[in-house]
Amino acid sequence: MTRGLSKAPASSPELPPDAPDARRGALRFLRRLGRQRAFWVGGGLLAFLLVFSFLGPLIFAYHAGETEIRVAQQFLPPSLAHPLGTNVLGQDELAQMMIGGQAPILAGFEATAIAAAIGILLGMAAGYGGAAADSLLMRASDVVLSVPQVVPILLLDALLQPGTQVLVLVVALTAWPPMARAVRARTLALRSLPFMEAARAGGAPLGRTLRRHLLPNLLDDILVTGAQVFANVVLVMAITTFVGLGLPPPWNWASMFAGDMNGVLGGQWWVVFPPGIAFSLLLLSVSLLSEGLRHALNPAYGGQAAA
Amino acid sequence: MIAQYLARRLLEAALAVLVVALLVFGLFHLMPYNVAAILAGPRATAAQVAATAAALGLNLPLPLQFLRWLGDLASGGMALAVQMAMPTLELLLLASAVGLALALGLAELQVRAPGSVWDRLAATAAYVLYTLPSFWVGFILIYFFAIELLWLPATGPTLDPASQRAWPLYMVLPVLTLALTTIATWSGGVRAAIEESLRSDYVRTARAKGASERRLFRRHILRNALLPVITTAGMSLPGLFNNIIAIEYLFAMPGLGAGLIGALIAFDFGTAVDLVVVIAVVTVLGSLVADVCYVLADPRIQYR
Repeated sequence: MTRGLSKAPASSPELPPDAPDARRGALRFLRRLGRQRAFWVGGGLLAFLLVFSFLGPLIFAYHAGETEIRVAQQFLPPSLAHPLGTNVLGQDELAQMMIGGQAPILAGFEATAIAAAIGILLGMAAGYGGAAADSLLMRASDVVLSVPQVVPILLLDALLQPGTQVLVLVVALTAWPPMARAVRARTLALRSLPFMEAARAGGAPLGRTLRRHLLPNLLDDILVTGAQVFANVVLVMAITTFVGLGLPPPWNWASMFAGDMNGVLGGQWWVVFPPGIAFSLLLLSVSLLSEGLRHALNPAYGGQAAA
Repeated sequence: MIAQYLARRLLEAALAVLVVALLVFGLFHLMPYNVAAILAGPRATAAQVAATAAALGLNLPLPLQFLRWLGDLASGGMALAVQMAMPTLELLLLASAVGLALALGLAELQVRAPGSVWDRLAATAAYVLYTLPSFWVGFILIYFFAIELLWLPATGPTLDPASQRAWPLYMVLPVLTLALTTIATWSGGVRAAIEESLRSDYVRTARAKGASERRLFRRHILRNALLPVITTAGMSLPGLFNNIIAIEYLFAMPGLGAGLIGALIAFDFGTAVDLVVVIAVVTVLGSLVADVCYVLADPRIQYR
């Protein structure tokens, strides 16, 4: 991985990718990464959310996950016993927030990984495989792009009530086109550059050419697009869950948001803000993280820093 | 020439919609439900279930059902679905207009004074909007404008006649919500298009001839930057639908999203197919209109 990360950036693609200074390149990369404020802020935020959601429930488990309704404790304001108050079912909001983060975060990263894998494979095939493959694959991505993502998800959700894993797969199947397009565009730009030609002329097998010479140079585009795909799949799953389908129970941030919304009409505003803010923090952290990584990977990459 | 191009594109669009209809038909056919039994009700006798199935044509083979559906289509079978789509289309068009105006305004702020406080504020606003789910934006607006300040109603226009009479008032928050979520997707593209336009020779020429900054922006930069923006807007239509479904639910509005969820939960597959087809028509027509606008706006582009 570190070898891959040290490969020649797009600005100087004539560097042989197996240069002997790969190790020094990795060090330089880490030093650049250390200077990226976006990387530290985003990484810190994501680490906090992970600890909060996956370690938090082990420490602070206050009636979390129970479905019994305690009318007397419904919508209690924040207090020492309940730092964020209680929700519509009389459960502790903080404990629910911790558990509620697990499904969106896990499902988000899983769906992103699957969508990215599909997109990278198809994108490289389209960019490297010749005109026929290119036109076929881009047509396919046009078709997927022209259907609103929530429609197939809602259809399958309402009719089959699939588990989280099937949902993740369906979401990923609707989310790969942006990645395929980004990878294809960069592959087309790189395929005829001297270092690729040298790899081909040197008799490297196709798989090795793509994996060792092409893929490392796509990494910065993959990271940027990957963060966009992550935001997309998290939002799509949040929307379908918010309208009552989507991620199955236990409650997660989106279903908490929908369930607690009515409390606001009675003046209990504190229950709705935490899940909303949590979604924003999650998307912000991944976006900043990818921004920092991208700048460290390829200092010549255009665009502005976000933080 | 343009007529030929239009005819070909319309044919392609119709084909795409037919494929979507076929897929949805196939999907429903594969579902492990006895739709006739569900629709006939829990106390229906076997004969009543059979009658329901016959009336809906559920006994026919799938290709025949599809042809029957096509026949219905010709005799106005989708009237209900189209009626359901109207509120959604109003929301979509109003929000697109407001969103485009806001995105252009933000981009003008950023481009006219790069590096200024305004530039950074606008960039931050676009970035923050990007991290906000649509229902969260809508909720914040409802909380401040409807619950705390009591300026606007907390729902969209519902079927309640009172809300229909004060329609514009009820539309403010839903339209603003959708517009704000579109800004997040559009402003990056708008800004990039404007910056590219800024570097062009014709802008340098216009500036050298002494055009005012305002005239430069409106006449020279904006017009040329609009082309890529049109494409982005047409392509982002399916994405907008994701948010429309959440917004209709949040604001308790009737529309395509609410109708689709209702039809699916009630196992009303006939209505669900019609609604999915209407959604497909809207998105396909949206990209078609964007392409045609693009061709009309830029004489350099060849019809293919």
